Parts: sequence; C-alpha cells; structure tokens
Amino acid sequence: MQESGLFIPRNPLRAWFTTSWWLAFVSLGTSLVSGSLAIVVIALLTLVVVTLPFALVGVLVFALMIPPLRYADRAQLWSVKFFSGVVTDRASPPRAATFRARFVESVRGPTLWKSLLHWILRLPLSIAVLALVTVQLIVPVVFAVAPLAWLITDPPGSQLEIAEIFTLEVLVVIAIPAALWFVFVTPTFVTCLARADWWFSRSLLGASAQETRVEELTHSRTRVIDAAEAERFRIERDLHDGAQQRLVAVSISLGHAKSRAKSSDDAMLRSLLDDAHRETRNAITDIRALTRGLHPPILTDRGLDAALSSVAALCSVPVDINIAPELGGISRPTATMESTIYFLVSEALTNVTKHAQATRATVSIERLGQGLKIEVCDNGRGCAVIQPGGGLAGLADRLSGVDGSLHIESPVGGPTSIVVEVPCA
Amino acid sequence: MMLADDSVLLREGIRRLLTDHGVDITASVGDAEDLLKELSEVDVLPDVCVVDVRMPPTFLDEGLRAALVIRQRWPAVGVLVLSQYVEERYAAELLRSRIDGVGYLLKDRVADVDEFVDAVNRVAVGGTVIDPDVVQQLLARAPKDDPLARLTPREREVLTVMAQGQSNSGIAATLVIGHAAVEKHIGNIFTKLDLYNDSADHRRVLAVLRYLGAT
Repeated sequence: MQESGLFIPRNPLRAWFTTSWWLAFVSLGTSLVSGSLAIVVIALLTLVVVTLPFALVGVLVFALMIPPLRYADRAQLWSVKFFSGVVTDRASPPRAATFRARFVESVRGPTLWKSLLHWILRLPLSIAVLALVTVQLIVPVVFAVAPLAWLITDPPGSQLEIAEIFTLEVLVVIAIPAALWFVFVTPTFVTCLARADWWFSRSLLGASAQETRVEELTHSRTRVIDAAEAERFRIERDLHDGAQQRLVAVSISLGHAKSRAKSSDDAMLRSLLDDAHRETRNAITDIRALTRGLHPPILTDRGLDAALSSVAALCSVPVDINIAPELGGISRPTATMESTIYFLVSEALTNVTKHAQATRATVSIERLGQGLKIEVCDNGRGCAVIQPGGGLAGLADRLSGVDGSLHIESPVGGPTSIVVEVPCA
Repeated sequence: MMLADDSVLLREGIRRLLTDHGVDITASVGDAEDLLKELSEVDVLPDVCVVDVRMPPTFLDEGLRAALVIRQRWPAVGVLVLSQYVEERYAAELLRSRIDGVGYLLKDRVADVDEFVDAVNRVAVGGTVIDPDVVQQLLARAPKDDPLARLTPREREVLTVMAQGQSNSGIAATLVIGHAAVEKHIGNIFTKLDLYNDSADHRRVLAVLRYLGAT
C-alpha cells in the first residue's frame, strides 16, 4: 500500500470516505487523455513505417518524434506522481552532446523501446480500464435500483418479454448482491485498477532499479567531486590568508633587517640574514606553486581564458588559445568543470613542454551541443600514450569523474592532438 | 602615502619598512572600502596608495577594483597594487585606462627593500612599475615568428627590464652595463620592432606593452 501511495482500508466500506478512492477514480478518468496521446504516438509510428521506403524520411520522422515522446513520458509519469503521490525517476535520457549521437544512444538503449511499447499497449489498456470502471459504476447500480424502477414504472403483467424472466422476486434477489457489490467492492476494485494502471506506466516509463541506482551514484559522485573542489578552494584560501601571508610578512621583516644591517660590520649577521631571506622566499615560492596547483584564484575571478593565458605563458612554446567567448560570460561552466578543464589543459601543456619538442601548440575550447569540446594540439614528435600513473592517466581519471571522454591521436613524428569531450549543461 | 591590506602583520611590516625609508604613511586600512572612504575625506591627497588585491569581503579582486576607482576619481594619486599571484590579465585591466602612476608587483618583492621603496617612489611621481613575472608572461605569449625573435639575448633582457618601467639608469643598474650600451640596445629594439622611441619612460613602457599585447 505504501508502495503505490494508495490507501486501501481493511473495512471496504470505509474506502468510500478516503481521498484515495476519489483520486483513483479521477486518475482513471485521465486515461482518456493518455489514450489520445497513445493514438497520436501510434499514428506517428505508422507514418514512420509507411515513409520508411522513401530513403531516410522515415528515420528522420522517427528521430524527430523521440524528443516529444520523452515529454509525453514525462507528462504520464507526472500524472502518476500527482495521483499516487509516488515519485518515480524517469528512465535516464540520452546524455550525448549532439542530436545525432543522442538519437543513436536512444535507439541502442532500452528506454525508447520501452516507451514505445508503453504507448502502443496504452491504447487497449486505456479502453479496457475505462470500460471496467464504467461497468463497475453502472451495472451494480442499475441492478440495485431495478426493483424500484419495476415498481414505479410498470405494474405486474407488462408486455415486455424480459419481464417474464426478471420478475420482481428475481430482481430483488439480484438487487441485494448488486447493492452489496457496489457498496463494498466497487471502490476497492477501482482503486486496485488505478494501481495496476500506474504500475504499468511506472514499470515501462520509469527508471529500473539499476537505473535509479546509477542515477543516485551519479548524483552522489557529483556531490563528492564538488565537495572536493570546494575543499581545494578552501585550503588554497586558508594557505593564502595564513601561512603565505605570514611568510611574506617574515620575508619583509628580514628584508628590512637586511637593509638596516647593510652598514653593519658583522659579516656573519649579514650572511645569516641573507640565508634566512632567501629561504623564506623559496618557501613562499613553494607555497605559491602548491596553492596554484590546488585552485588558481584567477580561475574563480576571471574564468578559463585568463587562467589558461597564464598557464600558456609558462609553456616553453607559443600557445594559441581560442576559447569561445560565451564560456567566460553567460554560459560559464560550473566551478568543478572549469577546474577540471584548467588542470587538463595545464597537464597537456606540461607534456608539450616536457616531451613533445614542439614549436607551436594550440588550445581550443568550444561548445558542442550540450557539452564542451577541448582540444590541445602540438606539432611535436608525437608518440604520446597514456601510461599508468602518468600525467595523462591522471587526466583520464579526473575526466571520468565528470563523464568526459579523452582521445589521443599521436602518430610517430607527430602531430599530437588530445581531444576531450565533457557533458556540460 | 596610504596603505590597504587585510593582514595586520603585513600592513605593520610594510608600514615600518616604508617609514624607516622616509615615506610618510597617512593612513593604513584593512579593506578597499575604508581606503576609498579615507581618500574622499582627506584634505591633502596622498601621492600613492599601496593596495593588496585580495581583501575582504569577497577575497577576490577588490583591491584591483579599488585601484581602478582611484585611477578614475583621483587621477593624481598613483596606485601600486600588490598580489600573491601576478597575472598579466590583471595587469592589462590596470593599465587599460592610463599607464602613468601605476604599479603592479608580486607581494614578496616588498622584501627586496630597496627595489620596493624605489617602486613606491616611482609610482608616486607618475612612473610605471610592472612585475618582471608579468613581463615574462607577456613575452612568453608573444608569437615566436614575429620580430621579437630577431632581438639578441641582451636586447631581450633590456626589453624585459624596460617593460617593467625602469628608466635608462635603472636598466643600466639592473643589468650592470653602461649607459651608452643601454641607449644603443634600446635604439636597436625600437628599430627592430618598428616602434617610435619616446623619451618619457612611461610612454616608452606603453609602447612596449602595446606591442606585447598587454593593453
């Protein structure tokens, strides 16, 4: 009962006084609507089959009907949720970046076919459900009031043949169970019917247990990654405001002391101050490198373009950076995504510096459908491979955390291109 | 001079250091808002403000924004921006409007006392001071197949120091070469890069920075 969100009381009479029964009743009434939707879907499918011989027209119509079909699925699940109060995750939609890729993904996965099966079966089901409800409501009532009608409308000895079979006695004998049926069974029956109807929609349109689990895991993974990113940001800030500031203050004091000791005769003092000053500065440089590796502040302040410009400056070869302007403004990726891309490009450019022997490199980031495409190319000697524990392997790991994909093309003699695609709304 | 930095420790260190070198500090505040308030209330404007980039409340770039406001509302006041990280993007924003009386330095340069005091003084009199790291970033980003490649290593060094806003004598002192040599190198650089050699230091910096694509 909990499972469907419908309350069926043990005492069948009380069912009349629960909201569940009325909701179930109205819900089955909406079968009219979903039945009509089913007619549209079946009509479209027929159109697909008919147009299939005409080259790709049928396929195109099919591809075009998939997105609206998903809306129909959603509407159906929403109405189930509205009436039953049970939230059903819908089966996972395709995640690919382009329309074509999404189409391929839909055709391959079970979601689309289950949805089509739902709508094809939905029509006879809706008709059956409506018929059953009507019968449940009308037939017992008709039989229950028949003796009364018999008494009021016609005296005994009617002309009708039927009256010969349905004598008042017979009618009264039938009327009693009919009335009992109506009072005690009808509400429970209608409620059960509604439950069956909802179960049908949920099992074909909703996510399977496995899909729900995947969905949950995806969400929790996103939360974990976001939390890790926030933590890196916090550590960077703490180091910046704490240790780094203190060290700078120490180094300023040491510089000050050094400048005052300049005229001193104590060579030992001067040399000690020099050492202390130098080591403090080294420590500052170390911390700066560390905090930059955690989360570069300019990334938060100014976005990818600015942050990557300064990474490019550290690369041994000139780097052309082309980043779609809207990524710095209206459609800025999430902090986690920005950070992932930043470290991805940093690592790729470090590899260029270290191994590629290139003279040029290019970085481009652009929107690709509902995702981002990041490309890092160089004209070096090629042979880049993902080695376990290497920088590229780390990149691939980090990318898999955001459902990204990494392709490396690096023939002997170059050029090398690393193409990454990540989903990014 | 006025000083804005959210770390009391640093503020004190810088204040002590500069006072010791004869710089008169009129106000020392903890955030950008206070600095702007001080500026609008004083009778005699300071020659220069030294501002930290990351300050409360957001700890992002308020110092930089305050610097831009000061540039606009009090053009006579020089601004020296200090930061834990130097980024050419910030430098570009700072230099966009006007290039005289602006400085942008990595915070730990303060520890090189003489250079820092020199930088403060230069910004106070309308000079330009740019962190060597920024210039490195700019030089690294410039395409390699352009006339920069035709510069000799020595000329590149001179260009780097010049872009930081140093005068001829400053360049000579930094690179430990003679005045005549500096002038000769600068002449060569401007000829090779096809730039107009202006005698005023800050306009010369502007020309070089423009060339490097900073502004």
